[in-house]
Amino acid sequence: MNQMATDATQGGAPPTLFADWRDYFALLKPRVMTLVIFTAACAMAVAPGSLHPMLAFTGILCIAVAAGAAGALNQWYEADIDALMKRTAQRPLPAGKLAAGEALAFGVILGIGSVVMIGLALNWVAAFWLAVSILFYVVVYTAWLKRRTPQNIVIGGAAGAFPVICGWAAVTGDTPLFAWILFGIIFLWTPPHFWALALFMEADYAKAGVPMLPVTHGMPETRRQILLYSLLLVPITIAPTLLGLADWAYGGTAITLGAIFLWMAVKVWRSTATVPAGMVAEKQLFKFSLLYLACLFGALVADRLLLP
Amino acid sequence: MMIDPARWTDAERTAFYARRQSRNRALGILLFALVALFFGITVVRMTDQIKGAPAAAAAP
Repeated sequence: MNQMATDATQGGAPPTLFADWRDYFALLKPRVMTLVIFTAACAMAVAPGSLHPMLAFTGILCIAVAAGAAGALNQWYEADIDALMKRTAQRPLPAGKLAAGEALAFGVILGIGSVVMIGLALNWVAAFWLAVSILFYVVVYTAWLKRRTPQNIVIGGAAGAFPVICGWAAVTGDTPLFAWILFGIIFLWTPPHFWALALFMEADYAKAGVPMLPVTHGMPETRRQILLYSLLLVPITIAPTLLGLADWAYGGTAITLGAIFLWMAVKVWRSTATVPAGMVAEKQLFKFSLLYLACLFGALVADRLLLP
Repeated sequence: MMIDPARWTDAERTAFYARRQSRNRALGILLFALVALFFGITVVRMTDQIKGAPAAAAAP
């Protein structure tokens, strides 16, 4: 361990001269950003109207940078609990590679820059929703809800859903019903996705004092809530077809994937495993939920763009 | 409290220069990409305005 790392672990201000660009990139939570970019890009593709490829690229870039800014500000605020959890202990702040002030400045500059840029290049409706998405994630979810209520994921799920509103608004300058249905899909998808993760990471969350549902209400109640939210999720994924906003190519995909999602949620509900090693159904649901959302939005784009 | 660079070991000094160089390169690439992006956006927006101008002028 070098002098700097030693100094950081002893509680002094962590010297950060050894940070390189990879540490700043890690602050952006690139893996989380991927799904945000994908769903926002799908919303842009589905929205009526067209954008010059350069402007479409700029819109997606701004949404990605804003998601990264929110991730950086989240890591700045949560460095103390990140240090307590195995999954997050190696992030740049708890690892002592970056100082808190650097992460804060990085997040604020990227956040303001992305909002101003999408406003100037595209429109200010998109800029407004982009600013809302950053503030919702940082202020409402990270600073307010996450450490106070087991409903943190439910309400905080909106933060991950705003990028589709932003993507839609970037093309059309407004946010009609269809855009809010896409918002609703991600909003209702978030609790089953994160609670499946929370079930097999329960010990980590308990150690860090984060009131996730498995910690506060136990595993059986979490499994019941996963099933309930899955039952709410599937109908809203079919809604675009029922309302005549999408064709049956998307509708068929939504019904098929929804049936698999529900089947997996029922398996989780019936599971009685209490140790992570035995939580096969929970891990399957967590992995499948990522594929589910990607396929659902992919099908929507294919439905709107490829079919006559 | 920043550690006095005079107290660095040779390995720490080498690591510092390598990482500072990587940060500076990344920043240079980023600035160049931003210039290209702003130029591209400006061209697209100006082209749109030029295309829209005759139609707007012809409108009653």
